[in-house]
Amino acid sequence: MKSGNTPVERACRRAGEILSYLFFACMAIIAFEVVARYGFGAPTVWAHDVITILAAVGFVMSGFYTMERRAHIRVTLIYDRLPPMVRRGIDILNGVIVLTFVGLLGAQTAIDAWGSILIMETAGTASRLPLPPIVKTSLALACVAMFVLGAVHLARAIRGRD
Amino acid sequence: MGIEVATVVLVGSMAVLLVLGLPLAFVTGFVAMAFAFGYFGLPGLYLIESRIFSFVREFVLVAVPMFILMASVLERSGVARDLYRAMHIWAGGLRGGLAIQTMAVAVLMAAMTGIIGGEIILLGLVALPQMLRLQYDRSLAIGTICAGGSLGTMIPPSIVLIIYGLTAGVDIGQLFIATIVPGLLLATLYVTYITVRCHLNPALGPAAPIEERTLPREEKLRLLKGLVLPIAVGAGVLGSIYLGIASVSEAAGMGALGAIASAWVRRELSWVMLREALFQTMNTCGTLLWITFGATALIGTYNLMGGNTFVENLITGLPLPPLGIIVVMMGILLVLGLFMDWIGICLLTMPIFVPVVASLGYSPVWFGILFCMNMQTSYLTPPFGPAAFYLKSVAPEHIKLGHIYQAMWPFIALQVVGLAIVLFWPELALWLPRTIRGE
Repeated sequence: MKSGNTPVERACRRAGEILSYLFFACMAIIAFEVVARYGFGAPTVWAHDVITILAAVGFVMSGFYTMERRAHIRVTLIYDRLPPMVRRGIDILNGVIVLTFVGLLGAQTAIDAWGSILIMETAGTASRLPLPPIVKTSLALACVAMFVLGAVHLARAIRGRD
Repeated sequence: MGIEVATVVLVGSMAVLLVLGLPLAFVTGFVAMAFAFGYFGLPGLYLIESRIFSFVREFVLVAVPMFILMASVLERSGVARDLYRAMHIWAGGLRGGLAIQTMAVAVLMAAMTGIIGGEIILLGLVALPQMLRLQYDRSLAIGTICAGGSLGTMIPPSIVLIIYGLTAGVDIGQLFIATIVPGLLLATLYVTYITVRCHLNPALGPAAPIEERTLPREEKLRLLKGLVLPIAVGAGVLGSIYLGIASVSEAAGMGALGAIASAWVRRELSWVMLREALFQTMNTCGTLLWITFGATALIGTYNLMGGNTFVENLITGLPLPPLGIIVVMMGILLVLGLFMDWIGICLLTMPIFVPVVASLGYSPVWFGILFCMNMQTSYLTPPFGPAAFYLKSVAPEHIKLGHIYQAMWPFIALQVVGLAIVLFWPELALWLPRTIRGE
């Protein structure tokens, strides 16, 4: 299956591109913290947690970007040799599996995230930043994006057009 | 369902779905979910979510995107090309010199980056055309690039070792020190092989003509100026980890910044380049991290089902001496490496293997190095040897995938030799960390 150009797919690509700057921010804060600690002897309380949060959000969000680029690792040695009809069947199976996995994971995470938001749970570190609510909400959102993207892919597979 | 039957169903269903060509990340996640729900009901779903959550909040994991970003920036600069030219002056005149200089560039690039794909593509672009132009033996040229390019797993910084350290609970700085000697051992084996073959049959790798190896002084200075900073950055990153000045994540972040600074000094930095490097980082994180999500969910579920005790008893019940058990594990890893990506293998097997290794009285650091050597081999072995696909994507039309796999065999054999040497002589891995850190 090739990448398509539906609004959903374009949105996922764009969102992923924008979110990739999270890693740039991570790098910048690491540099800031290192300079603050070794240059000025004034380490921050918050850098460690902020870096962890930014990276964690980037990690969970990268899933749909990679999915949109069809870059999740798969062994297509046999797949490539199968007739189109069988491949279509596999694509449909793939769609069902993706929807089940991210659907259930997303629902579970959303419930948990909500509970976490209500009490503004902190990570129990010195910065008292609400790491769990932020990361869990991100994971839930990433699952929603992957679910919608997976539905688009599945619909395309069922229609039988690449 | 007893654990024996469950194990067979679990492994079987995964194998079928993977062979059909479904993505590893979703297959592991889906199978995990099916078993977690089947065994534990709704709490099973919470188990999966919480395992993913506690994985992504590890500070050490930040090193992964930072090293990827560092590599992505360096790949887009001309550092590899310049290194190759610089090495040419030194090694070009030797028999098989181009292959040897390729190996030297591979080791240096591996010390600046920790991921494989980019390095093989770079060497494929920079070194392959040159070796083919000088009528090098095709197999020797291809094998050199694939094997050398895969050294990124062994030469620190190594993303494989970061993930191993996280999974096995081993200090990553320690692993980075321990892997130096085995990594260089592999490089030495490769170079010895190239030299011996080219001396037996000079037609395999003729020396480069002298006029190609003499550069004007300004050119030498330019090369030197462009290479000093990136090499210093690579050395700084590793040095600060070894001396314990910075955490792995901080060193990696500074390394990424250093790579950007190098590109700037070399007048290669542009907005487009930085953007592309960030997008590539995002994409690579997506492939790596989501496999770890699926795999950590699966192994968490399986262990809660009693899988770890089952496999542990199975392995330790074998009528074998302790070293034999390690060999069996290596065999399992090699076979898995034929079909699966290293990160999936690491997350799925290490939580079970490492406790067994420790209970046998072996060092998990040493085992990590063996694991890493094994995973480097998995980059080369068909049918799912990513190294071949990376090289194919940049090789000239007339080089087919079959040629590439054919060229790998001698190097795969050298890998196994290297693995055996470290297996029977653990001091190769353990001596340096003890000496540097006194542990």
